[in-house]
Amino acid sequence: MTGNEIELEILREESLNRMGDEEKVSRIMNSVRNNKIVVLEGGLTSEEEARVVERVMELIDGEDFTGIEIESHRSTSEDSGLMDRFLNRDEGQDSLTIVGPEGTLESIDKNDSTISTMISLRRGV
Amino acid sequence: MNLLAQLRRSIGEWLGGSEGTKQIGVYGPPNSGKSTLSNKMLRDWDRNEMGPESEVPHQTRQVKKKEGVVIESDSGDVELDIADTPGVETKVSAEEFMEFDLDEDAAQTRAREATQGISESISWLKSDIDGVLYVIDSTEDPTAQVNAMILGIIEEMEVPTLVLANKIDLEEESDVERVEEAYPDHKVVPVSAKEGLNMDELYDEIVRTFGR
Repeated sequence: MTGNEIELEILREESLNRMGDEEKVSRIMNSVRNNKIVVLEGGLTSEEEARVVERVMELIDGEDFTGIEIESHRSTSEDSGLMDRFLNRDEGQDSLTIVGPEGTLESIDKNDSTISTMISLRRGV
Repeated sequence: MNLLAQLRRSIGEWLGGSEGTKQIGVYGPPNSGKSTLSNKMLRDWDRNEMGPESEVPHQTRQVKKKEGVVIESDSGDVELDIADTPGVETKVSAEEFMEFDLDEDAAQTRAREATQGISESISWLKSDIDGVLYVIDSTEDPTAQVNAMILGIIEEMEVPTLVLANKIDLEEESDVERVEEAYPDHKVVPVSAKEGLNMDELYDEIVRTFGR
């Protein structure tokens, strides 16, 4: 992979559902530490996000790995408020979580139907 | 209340909270004003302070606890053990501290302590608290993913929570409505911990929310 290329990994929901919590977190962290951006179909719950953040804190070395960017989008019914979308409270709806190395995901915009992300090449992914 | 919440509460009482005393965590992103709020509350009710406040992110790098703080209002009183927690975020680098004139060694030490503090914050949230004061800087975007993550866990655990829209003294930048729109299921209390604005309303809400 050269300095101008980005590897984007999309993890299917059915594949994620087969993984245990620990395996899921390890899978995400392995990819992000290898400078990949991971798109998780079905999204992560708040609890899973927190587990990823805890793992990130264990792995930060201050030089090669300084953290992650994480954004989730919860697609829910029209009656749902912003909080419902954040918290993935409407089961069975499509959700998405994007995780990348720190500094790679920028200008993220979320609304009812889309999640827009600018991917930065500055860190040489 | 679900089984997990009941179990957590029972363990919390068994671990040391005296009967009737509520374990309250002050949570929020770095620099939202958690330590300023904790210190203000302690000055008002305990005549002590929790620890230093700073413009530098991650000034608080481990959970600090003050026990037996009694807060009174017109509607009654409540005894709290208040814990000021390190700000949670998803990235920490020594570079951000060097921007505040810390030398490289000090910045690296601070970054390492901050990562440990964030882990401690999250695990403490999932163990033994009865309530949360969630502090948001009302001059910043309230929909940051870290806010959604922490409030998501809090909701799953059914922990009573007050969302504080802090820094209302910065009138031109502060946007309390934006915080209320982002978190319509929570009681949002506008305050300025630094200037002591609207603290009486906050104490009243604390007694009503945690004093049950």
